[in-house]
Amino acid sequence: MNALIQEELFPEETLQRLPLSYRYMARLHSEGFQENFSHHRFSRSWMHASNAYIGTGTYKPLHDIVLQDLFAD
Amino acid sequence: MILILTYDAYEQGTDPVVDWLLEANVPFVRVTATDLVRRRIRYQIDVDRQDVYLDGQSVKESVRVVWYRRFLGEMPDVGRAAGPHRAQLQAEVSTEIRHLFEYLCFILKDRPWLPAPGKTQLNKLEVLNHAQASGLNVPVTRVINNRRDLEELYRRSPNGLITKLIADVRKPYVQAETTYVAVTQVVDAERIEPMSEYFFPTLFQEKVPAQYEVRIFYLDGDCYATAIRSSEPEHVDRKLNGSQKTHYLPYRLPDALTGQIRELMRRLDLNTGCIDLMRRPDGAYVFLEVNPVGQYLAESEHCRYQLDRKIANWLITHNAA
Repeated sequence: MNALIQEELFPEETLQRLPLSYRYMARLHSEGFQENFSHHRFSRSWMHASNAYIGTGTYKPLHDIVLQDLFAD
Repeated sequence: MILILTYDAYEQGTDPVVDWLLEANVPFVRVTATDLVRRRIRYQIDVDRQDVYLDGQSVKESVRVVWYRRFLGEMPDVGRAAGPHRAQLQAEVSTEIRHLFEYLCFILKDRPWLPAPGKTQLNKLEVLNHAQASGLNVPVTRVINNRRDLEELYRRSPNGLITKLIADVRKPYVQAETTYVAVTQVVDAERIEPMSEYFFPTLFQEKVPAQYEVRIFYLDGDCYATAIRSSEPEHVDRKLNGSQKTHYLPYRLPDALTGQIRELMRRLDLNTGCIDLMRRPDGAYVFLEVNPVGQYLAESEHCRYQLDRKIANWLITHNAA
């Protein structure tokens, strides 16, 4: 994902007819770009299957701590 | 019955909600643009009666609530056989489906929608004005077509400039092992110098110095806020920094800011959306944008908000009303 190289996708003639954003497109490895969903899923139904219903490990404990409790804001 | 308008392909925000609907044993139907054209279900839309018939059965009355989840974002492909006419044909077919969708919105206009039909594709510039009117700070924003005005804006922007597309059309261009994507990028003197005198009108904004980003999932008046910070921010667009370096913490919004967000959503006639803010080192919050169909799972899971369950509960409640 982070192998970012600046390189133009379109030829100069086309770029002149496009917003400047197309001139600065990020060039990424397709494998690592999660939004291609080639090898990435951010949600899976099996997490909620009846034999493990909402029983997946939690990333963080359930609590009421917010950022302001940890750091002066 | 709950009508879910979504993708045929994987859509990360839909499945977790569907799981909760299954658990609650609530009737729902999940429909995609592909369903409308693929020859696998028999249906007709009776314009005279303003009704939809599935296998000969009227469904209009049974639909009590509608969840719009990026339905128009995935259009069926007309295929390569169309040859040189493919682009034109694809545009025409997409328009045909969009008009069909608009008619479905019309005949179901009296139902509660999440979010309301016609409110899913906002004009980013218009939204900034609504944010201002709601009392929110917004970054200095210009659409510029020439180097002279851009240079002047750059000189008056001590924190630098960024550029991004006006519209949310950020689909990746995939070429085998390489993917190109138009993300938010910094515009500096090095980039301005080779620019031609005039160029395509492009959106520029002052770069907001951020202590951290605040992302809010808004659902019918409730705000679920997350502070997001990249430990090694290499890029101005968080999506490029990699999830390993991105940290999420639940965040308590100041009451005044919550009020401003609610006012903004009221003005936009939105009952849901993902709102992006920057928190400056001086404590001020700067509004960036709102996406009515934004992704919410990362913040939900990291902060244990169970937003998928809250969306499902909203749908279930309105289905029962």
